[in-house]
Amino acid sequence: MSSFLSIQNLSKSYGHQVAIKNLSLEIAENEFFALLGPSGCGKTTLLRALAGLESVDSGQIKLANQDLLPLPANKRPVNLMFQSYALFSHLSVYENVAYGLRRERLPKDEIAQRTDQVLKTVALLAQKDRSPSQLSGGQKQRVALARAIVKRPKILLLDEPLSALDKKVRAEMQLELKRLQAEAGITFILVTHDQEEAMSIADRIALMDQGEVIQVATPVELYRAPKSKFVADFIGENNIFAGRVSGNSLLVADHLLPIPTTHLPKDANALLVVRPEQISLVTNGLLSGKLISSNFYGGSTLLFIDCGLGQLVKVASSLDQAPKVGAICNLSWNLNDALLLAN
Amino acid sequence: MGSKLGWLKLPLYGVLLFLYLPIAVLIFMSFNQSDAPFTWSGFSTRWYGELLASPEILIGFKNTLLVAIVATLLAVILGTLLAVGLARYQRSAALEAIALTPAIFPDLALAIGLLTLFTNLNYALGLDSVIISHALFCAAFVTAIVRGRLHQLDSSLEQAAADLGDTTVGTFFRITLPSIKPAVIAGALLSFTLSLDEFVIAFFTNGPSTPTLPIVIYSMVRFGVSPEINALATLVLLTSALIIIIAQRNLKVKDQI
Repeated sequence: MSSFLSIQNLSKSYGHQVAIKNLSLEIAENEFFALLGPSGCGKTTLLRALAGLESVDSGQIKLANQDLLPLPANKRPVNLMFQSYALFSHLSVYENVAYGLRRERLPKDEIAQRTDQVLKTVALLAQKDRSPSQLSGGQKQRVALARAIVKRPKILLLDEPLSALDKKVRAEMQLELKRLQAEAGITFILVTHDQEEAMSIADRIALMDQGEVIQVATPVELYRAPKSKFVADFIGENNIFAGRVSGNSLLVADHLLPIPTTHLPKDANALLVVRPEQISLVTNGLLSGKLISSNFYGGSTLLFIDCGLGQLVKVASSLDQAPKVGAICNLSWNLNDALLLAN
Repeated sequence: MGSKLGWLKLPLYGVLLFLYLPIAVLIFMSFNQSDAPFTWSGFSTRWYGELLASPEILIGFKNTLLVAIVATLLAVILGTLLAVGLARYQRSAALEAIALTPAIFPDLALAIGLLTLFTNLNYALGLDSVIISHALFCAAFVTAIVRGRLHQLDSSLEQAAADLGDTTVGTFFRITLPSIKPAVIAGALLSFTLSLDEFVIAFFTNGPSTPTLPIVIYSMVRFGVSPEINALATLVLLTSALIIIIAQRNLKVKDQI
């Protein structure tokens, strides 16, 4: 992978509060990259450091081999789309979008042409003379996006761009973002706390926690092969059974669960990770228990089964296969689908 | 709402009467025909006409206007810059308190302090020393109002401007100032009215040859209240009230957006 943006050993703290801890990350050109993590994990601080709105204590940021840190925010070839959109309410939609181009002192007709073109891309050309206060949430979001991409930045930074939208508009905007990213050919770095959003939209995801990158991978890898309990827990629904290794089984609350081959020694503490959709209902299974609750999600149903493990086992099921609440269920899964992590 | 007040209406109207009776008497007597200050002898606007014929009053009015305009200008520039500095660059509660207290200093203390300062500096007292003094206490009011507005303003607006390639100065004029404009105008109008009828500080920091209007009024009143004074005071009152109303509306309308 050719490195376009290279972040090396970046650190930043506010007093005793560490926001970014010796963080290194490589991002390729034209990549749609997501920084994912719980609130306070440092993802927004990292984004703002890239934009130049936040100073860092140590480390290096290189963009196409150019040192970014010595440049002030207004000289960096990156643009940020703010979570609050930060639209200028005293300027029209058109003037908001043209703002950055006017600062570059481009010729008048080039400014007009580029602004109109971007407004057309985000389908807001008809609203160009309106004030931002007259727009809906989704339209405001698109103005903010247009204002940032019209500058043709090397990297577009997006700070929780969809968090203020309702669910339906958000799904539309996810598609829109992906289309724009492909059309504009710009590297996108998106910050979000919503793992579904990151999974559905990004080429690669860096999952962060407490100022550190825990795992960088494609959405599928992150889902299939989480490196730690934190990742397994954060990405998607999961069953995580904690126990002790005993031969080729894991001892979990008096139950022996089969495990894939492992280099972990006997009696080591380990976690067995099984996705709900990997577990099937059978007549004679590895585990059996009573169905406590059945949650319907439209396309699928999530069953919660008490197998005496101290935690309910989550099983994905289709609607017509879901047993009645209170029924006894036998559970089984393919040994190689399960994952064993050291604990 | 009003009907629910019941017997509380009585104290309400009592208080309003207490507050506005002196002003009502003043306005009423300014239309008195006779020059006897305390007896009504018919309606007339002659005292308003006589105001314009009095050179003393006209000079005082001219001086006051000059002081109010220049002091307001200075106060708005200083106060706005101070407010932006406090809100965006140097967040400190102590500094904020120091910046805002001149607004609540006793006038007399401020006046004596200024007089002492000017005397020690051998600065000749005149309209310019009044302007400096008025700019000083008015700036504190402007700072307070603009600071309040900046507090509500999303600071990511200025960051967005910087992100789009604007300089610090450009961002101030293109983004910050338009966003706080209602507060700046309100601060200017308030400064103007405060300076317009300010007496104590002007009295201490002024030279003998350039009296402002309140000082002119004061020197006239020393020999008894004339109907002319009533008319003049009425005009000053109306001007101040009008400006305050404009300032209030200006702030309110913009706050709703």
